[in-house]
Amino acid sequence: MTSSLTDRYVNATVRSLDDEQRAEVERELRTTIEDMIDGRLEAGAPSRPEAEREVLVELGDPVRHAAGYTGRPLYLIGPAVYPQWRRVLTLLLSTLVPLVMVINLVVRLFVDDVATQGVGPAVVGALRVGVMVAVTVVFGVTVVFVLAERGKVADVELGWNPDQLPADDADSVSLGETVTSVGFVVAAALAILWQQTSSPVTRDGEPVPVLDPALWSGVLPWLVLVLAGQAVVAVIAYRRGRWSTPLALAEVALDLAFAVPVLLLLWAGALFNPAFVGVLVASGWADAQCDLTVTTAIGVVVVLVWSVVEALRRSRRTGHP
Amino acid sequence: MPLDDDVVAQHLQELRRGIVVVAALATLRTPGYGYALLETLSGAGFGVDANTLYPLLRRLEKQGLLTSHWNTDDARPRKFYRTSAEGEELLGTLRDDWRALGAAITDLT
Repeated sequence: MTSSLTDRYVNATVRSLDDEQRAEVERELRTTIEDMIDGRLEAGAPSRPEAEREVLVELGDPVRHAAGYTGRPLYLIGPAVYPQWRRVLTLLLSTLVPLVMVINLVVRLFVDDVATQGVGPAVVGALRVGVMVAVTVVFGVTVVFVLAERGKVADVELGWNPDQLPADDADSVSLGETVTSVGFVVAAALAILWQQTSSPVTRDGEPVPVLDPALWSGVLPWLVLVLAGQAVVAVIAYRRGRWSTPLALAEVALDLAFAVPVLLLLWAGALFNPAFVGVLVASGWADAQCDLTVTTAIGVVVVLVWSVVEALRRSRRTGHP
Repeated sequence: MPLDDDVVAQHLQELRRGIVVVAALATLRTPGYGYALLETLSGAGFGVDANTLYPLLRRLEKQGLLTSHWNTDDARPRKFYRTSAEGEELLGTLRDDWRALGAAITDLT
């Protein structure tokens, strides 16, 4: 004999109750359903099975019904922990994911055979890793907060206090801004190393460095050092929570310390590796030297101007030194 | 602009949410079982769902505001609830508060 709808409903409802409650709730629920069915038949329901069905519909989803007895929440992330869940998720997604993607991209550019494959596979690979990290972060954080919700973590631990207010946008240094700056600087430093070891241009299977290798005894280490200095400035500004005039001036000085030597070398035609330019010319790019020089110079000047304007803007908005 | 029925229903539901407890404690001064209480309450205009009322009765019982016993004389075994002394005390407090609120609301207008 197959069990009746009522049996199945009662079983589904009491399943999640503890032993102490189960027997009693089951007994009471059965009587109630019978009473309700009788009530409907008296009120003119056409048949018992139809009345039974209507009664069960009225009683509603067994999971919801059982939650009335157990007090179990009918949600994963409730109002008690939702704000903190959102805060943690936003922070991790806006920092960890871009950081991992940049590091992954740079490492792949070193490892991949860029000369034959181009940068496509590295970019696609970094994007894929970014998506995976984002999914993992969302899943992991959510699981932790679901457990916290169930574990009735005290308000003290997940509470809110005024220190967590987002800093005033007008003069604060956001984490996202800092991660972007540091990521940019790290990428630039790694690019300087990368062009030496894994240049996209090869001759006889050997990578040909983009920049003149002779510069490693002078200006290239200096440039890496300047980039490190910029990362330090960005981190200091973040730790202090705001830019100050001295910090902005240090930023401008570092920008100039980077751009001026590069522009002088470009002017003297001594930045690029003659062998590298030679390969490009041999492959049909007659004006390689001139084109590269002009493009790089424009790029350096644009970045310099943007960075200096940004630094001055920051120092102005601090309002005090 | 005419009042939106849904908005009215929602506010009424919020206003009445706690009053079911008062109605149940008052009704169960005469012992009664769940389904009878359900009928009484809906007859008196307190629309309450069975899946809300039964868990509520158990909660009140757990808090000592109701006592219960099984009546097996009938064909169907029924659990009878009755307002306890503590329940009676709470009922008094809630009713006083209800009256005070009513008076305060009247004074506001």
